[in-house]
Amino acid sequence: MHKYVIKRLLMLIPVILGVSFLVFFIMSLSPGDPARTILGENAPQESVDALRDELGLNDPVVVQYARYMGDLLHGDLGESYKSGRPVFGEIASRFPATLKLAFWGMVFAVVLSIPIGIISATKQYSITDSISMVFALLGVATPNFWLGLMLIIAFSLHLRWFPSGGADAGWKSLVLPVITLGTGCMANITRTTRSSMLEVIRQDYIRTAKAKGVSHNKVINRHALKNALIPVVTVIGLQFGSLLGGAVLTEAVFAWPGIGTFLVNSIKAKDTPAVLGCVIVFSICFSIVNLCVDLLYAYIDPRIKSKYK
Amino acid sequence: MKKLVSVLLAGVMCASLLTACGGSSDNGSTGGASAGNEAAAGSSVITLGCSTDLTSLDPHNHNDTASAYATRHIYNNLVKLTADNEFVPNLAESWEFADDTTVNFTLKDGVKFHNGETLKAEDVKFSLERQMQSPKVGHLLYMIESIDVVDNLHFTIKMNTPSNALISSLFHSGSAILCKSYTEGLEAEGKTLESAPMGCGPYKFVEWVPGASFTLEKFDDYFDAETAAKNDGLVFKIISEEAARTIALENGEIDMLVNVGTSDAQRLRETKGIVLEEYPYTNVEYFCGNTQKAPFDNVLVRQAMNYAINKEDCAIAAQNGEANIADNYIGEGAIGYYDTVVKYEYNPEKAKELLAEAGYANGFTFTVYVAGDARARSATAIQASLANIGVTMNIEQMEASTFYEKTGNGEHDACMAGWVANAEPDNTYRPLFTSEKAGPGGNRSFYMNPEVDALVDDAAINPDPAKVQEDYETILKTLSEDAVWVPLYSQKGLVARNENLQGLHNSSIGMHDFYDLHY
Repeated sequence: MHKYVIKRLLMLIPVILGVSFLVFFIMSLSPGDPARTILGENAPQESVDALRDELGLNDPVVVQYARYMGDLLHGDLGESYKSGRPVFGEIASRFPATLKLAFWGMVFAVVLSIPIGIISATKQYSITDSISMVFALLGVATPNFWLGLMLIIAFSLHLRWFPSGGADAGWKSLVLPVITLGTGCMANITRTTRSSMLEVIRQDYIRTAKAKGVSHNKVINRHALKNALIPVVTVIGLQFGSLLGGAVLTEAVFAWPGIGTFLVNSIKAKDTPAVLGCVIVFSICFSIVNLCVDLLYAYIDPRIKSKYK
Repeated sequence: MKKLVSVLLAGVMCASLLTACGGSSDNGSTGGASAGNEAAAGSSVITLGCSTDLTSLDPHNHNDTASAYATRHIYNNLVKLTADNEFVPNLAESWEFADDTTVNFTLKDGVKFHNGETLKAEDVKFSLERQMQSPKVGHLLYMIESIDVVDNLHFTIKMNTPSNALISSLFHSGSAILCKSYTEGLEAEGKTLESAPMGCGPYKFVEWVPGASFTLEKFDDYFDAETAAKNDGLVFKIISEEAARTIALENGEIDMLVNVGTSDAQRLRETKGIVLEEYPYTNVEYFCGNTQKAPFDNVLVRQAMNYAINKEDCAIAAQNGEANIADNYIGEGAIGYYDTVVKYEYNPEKAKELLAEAGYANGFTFTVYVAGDARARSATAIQASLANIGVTMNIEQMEASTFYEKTGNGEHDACMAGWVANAEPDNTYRPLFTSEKAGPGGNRSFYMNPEVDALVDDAAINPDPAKVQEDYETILKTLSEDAVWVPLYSQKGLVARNENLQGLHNSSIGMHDFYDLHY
């Protein structure tokens, strides 16, 4: 098991290399001059040239990449072209906010979706099932930014229950962005839970358990749910990864001081070190979340544990 | 229990959607009035909503408006600009031109930095020399050869060429005066002004939470009672989403909205308790053909474009009508604006006649390069206007940096762009219309006229204000006769505030003063 974990962690190295290589070269291939973008349309050409020099943009792309990777090996993510500050600091000051939002978004989604998925599966084709599935579909189909604005208008502007944005009002600041971010995930997890449960409760061993007189709750919670959890945990892991990187719109709508807005602004400014830093952090998080999911499989299904060598 | 959970969930979702959908039209009842009363009763810290986060707190490390909002209130300059667009002394007590290239400055006595130190001429020399090394704002002081300190309150700036731009450049946020001993001490410790900015402005730095907010507090020992803070502090709240910013103002979470989106302007005008202020902005949006390529190398074709394009449609498409139709090549609120241009009224028939005279009776086809959604919307309006005179315009929308690159290289038939004039007219006329700046320098029409070049050069150095005015008037007349651009519209400057909030000093170049804000 330990060996497996170490092996997976070592696999992060080629992942980071691959991701940084791709992003760096895609950024360099895209047209436009970061110096011009940073200084703006009105800046004189001499200033643009001076900034290009300072940023090392006149060197060949391969040289720039090698220099970046050399710094990365020393734990240095470089300096943002736009602000001149270390990218590590820029990310470190914003990432906790994104992580907090993604975590609570996921808690919101999981706490609601798994019970709803189970109820839908056990009461298939009932009114409850139909309502749940309609909302699951709506949840998947509703754009984040629209839902966010609707929630702000309803609960902030009219009811005045929660602030419309920012992160300075404690738990109250979290409520609307968490619902906005978590709704799409909730819908996905609900649908997966329902279909996985439906598959499991049709198995022979469930029928046998029922025939033996085991109570309905026990059959569902102890026999069916555990066996239905593997695809659900997979979806939760994938969704959590996408929440980390995909909170951009939610952060923009709620003025949430996370990494999403920083990443978008960096892409617009062709701020390669900042974009690379964000992407590398996302890749590491995504890989670690997936590793956790894989490890969870072993606890859910002991048969899988034997395969982890 | 299971049913209850399902029903509750369904109820919450329905309630949120229904309340939200039904509530947007009722915007006249809540608004900022109640918020203003709350603010009046409590602390006098003013919260401002901004669309963009700061780039930097070091005045020599940024050249953007969002950062300038903050740094202008922490630091201070030798010169300030009045509402009448006149440069007057600020940290400087006075200045005097000894000759064309030598200016003697006297500093105000007893100006304190936030750390208690007194402003000295050495601080000015240190700050301006530090600025000259900056790739972002160093170019502003291109004319300075040396700065010689005479004593604590006197110094002399020697220029390498006569320049009218010196004084206006000293007003730029990049020309902020730093405390030499503090900045050097900070840098010796391996720190920067980014984490601990300190100057002699009306506010002291408190906190910057990147992406969220920026907080300042009143500086009690400020040297000038007239421009000292009339509130306890300022909080700049960063809200990038336009609708969320507007809601925050209606909700009373912010007292003033600096960047009002044009789609929300009318709604804010109608909201009780909120005042929408308009001010003349120095921006001009324009369409221009590449004057080095056919058919736009023909002045008749360019004039035909001026007659053919319906500017009203452009303003509505791009800015929801929150714009003033432009005939001039520089914004109305700008220094260097003179109303001497030839005005072309909307007249498609006249445009057809000019095209026929130019040999394009059957029209022609070209491609316009555009960056940005607003300009792309404006382009569709132009496309429709030109179709009326038999000209087919294809629109190629691209990302801003690509646009700069391609139009800088002269790859375009025509393009659409905009320009915001700052406090120095040379910074508008030179990059946009002189031969030396054709291409990446800013002159995207590639207009090259030695007569205009000479006039721009003369206006930049001539010490006689009347002659400078005459130069600019002639330039504007020549540009409009040559129909270098089709000026389309000037955006309205829009600021929304709680109706009880007083003391906003708008600036046509966007450098608003917030020190006087109070309930």
